Amino acid sequence: MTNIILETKDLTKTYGKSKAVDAVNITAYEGEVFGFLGPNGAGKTTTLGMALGLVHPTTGEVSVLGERVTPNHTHALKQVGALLGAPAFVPYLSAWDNIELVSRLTPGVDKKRINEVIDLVGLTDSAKRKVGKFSTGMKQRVGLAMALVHRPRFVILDEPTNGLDPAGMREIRQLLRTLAENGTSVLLSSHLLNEVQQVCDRIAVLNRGRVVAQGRVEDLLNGQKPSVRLTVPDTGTAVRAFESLSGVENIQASGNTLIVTGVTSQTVMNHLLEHHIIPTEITAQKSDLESLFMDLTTTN
Amino acid sequence: MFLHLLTIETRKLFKNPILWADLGILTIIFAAYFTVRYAIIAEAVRNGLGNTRGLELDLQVGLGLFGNFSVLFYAATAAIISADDYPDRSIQMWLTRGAPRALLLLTRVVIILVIGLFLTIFIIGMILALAMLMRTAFLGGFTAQNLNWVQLLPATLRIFAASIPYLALTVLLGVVSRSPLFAAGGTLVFATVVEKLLEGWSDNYPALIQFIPSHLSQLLLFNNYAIDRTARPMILGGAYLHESQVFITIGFFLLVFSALSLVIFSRQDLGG
Repeated sequence: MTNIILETKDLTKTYGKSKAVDAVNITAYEGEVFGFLGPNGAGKTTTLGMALGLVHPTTGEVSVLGERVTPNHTHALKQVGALLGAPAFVPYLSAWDNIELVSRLTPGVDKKRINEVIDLVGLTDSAKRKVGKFSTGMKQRVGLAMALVHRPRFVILDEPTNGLDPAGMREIRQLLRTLAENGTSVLLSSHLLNEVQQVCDRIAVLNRGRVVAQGRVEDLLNGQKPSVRLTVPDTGTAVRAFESLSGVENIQASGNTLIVTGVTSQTVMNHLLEHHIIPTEITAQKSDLESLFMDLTTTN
Repeated sequence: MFLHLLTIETRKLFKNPILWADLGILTIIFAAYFTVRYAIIAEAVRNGLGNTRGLELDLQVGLGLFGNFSVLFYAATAAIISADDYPDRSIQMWLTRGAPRALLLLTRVVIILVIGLFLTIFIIGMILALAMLMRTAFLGGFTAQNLNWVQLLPATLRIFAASIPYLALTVLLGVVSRSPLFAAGGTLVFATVVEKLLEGWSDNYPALIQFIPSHLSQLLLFNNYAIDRTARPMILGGAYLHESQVFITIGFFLLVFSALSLVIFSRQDLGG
């Protein structure tokens, strides 16, 4: 049986009257790359903050590597590497010094390992420069190195490719897969849905503090409703026409473009012709994470 | 873990440019002060005037000068250690790796005390070194026959002990405000405004007012007359705390401020 690496039970965080995280239940298993998705303000970073002992849950609990974590009980985090949002570092120290300082919290990390991880994230030529003067992408690499230097069992990465160029992003994707292949569990929180789809085994989608979907990426995509994108001369007439079409669950309008969810392109085409509306363009939407994400996180 | 955190905090501190800027500024202030002082004394000596007493006087004068801004100096150092990593979130580096909050705070309090003592020794050493240098340059030599070297150690400990309530207050303000600037500034306001206001009540509550840090400091530093072999003991009018009571009160301040810091630190959300 696969071990649970991260589990939250009805995890809730309230700030004043607003619920940033609302009864979140997620489970990530050992050896997998788990994607954590949600629009800005969905509560991802707060949830991760609670998992990393930085934020006190209002109610509920979070366990990492089978051990409950609270800000005053963080023993399990010794085996965790984390990069939460913009990387935190001591700005007047060099990249090497920052990584070396963090590595001191784990016995057995030697200079060889520090140099190894610096090579791994592509910082070899800049390791002795002060981090405060680094570009966003280079700071991100320092953050990654600090998260990985002690060979953690579980890595939590919040937007790890922020500020990286496309080649850098590809390197990180490859790195995440390599980590998973070597037995390291990874939780990846990202806005880049394509990146998540390429890398993650399972995902959880958070919206307004609540988990709105969780499972294997393929399973979630297979369960997705069909949707059609079309361009029409007059969206008002077309929207009125679709009101009488059974099966339509959602219509999003933007300029002359409509996205109709719940029906196939054939049905849409037939219906439009019945109403003497000729679309200039019509495309069946490919079932991908982006459209799933939009379905789950946007309202009419 | 404690030793690892101690190493980390020490390395961070000694690589912090603000610490070296503090020490540099302090050295420049003292060097300028002693240059002017000995230029005036040398001129007076040439005119057959002036007091050419030795290092014991220089040390007392230097410590008097340091007393004018010692709270700022100690508070700035404590603020760097206790709150410098809040604004840039680098405190997360240690907490997300399983460093217990209580241990992290304890480490910082220990480092602040050790560094506070080290800085006090540095100040006394610097005053003596500058005095020797300047006396040699302006007066052709120096005398240390009246300096009671044995009394230097207790004098150093008294100066350091007098700073402890301010160091502990800075830690508390640093944790509460999450800002080194507010921590140092708040301690300075406490020493220059709040304590002065409290001293205004000394006629009504003399027994109570002697427990405030500035009075504890005065009571301790009165005893530093002994670094001058020729000085006579100072007699304080009224019933004052005994030196041991002063040390206990200082320990109490340290304990209370540290405990409050711990309670607040352990309840903080540090995710943002």
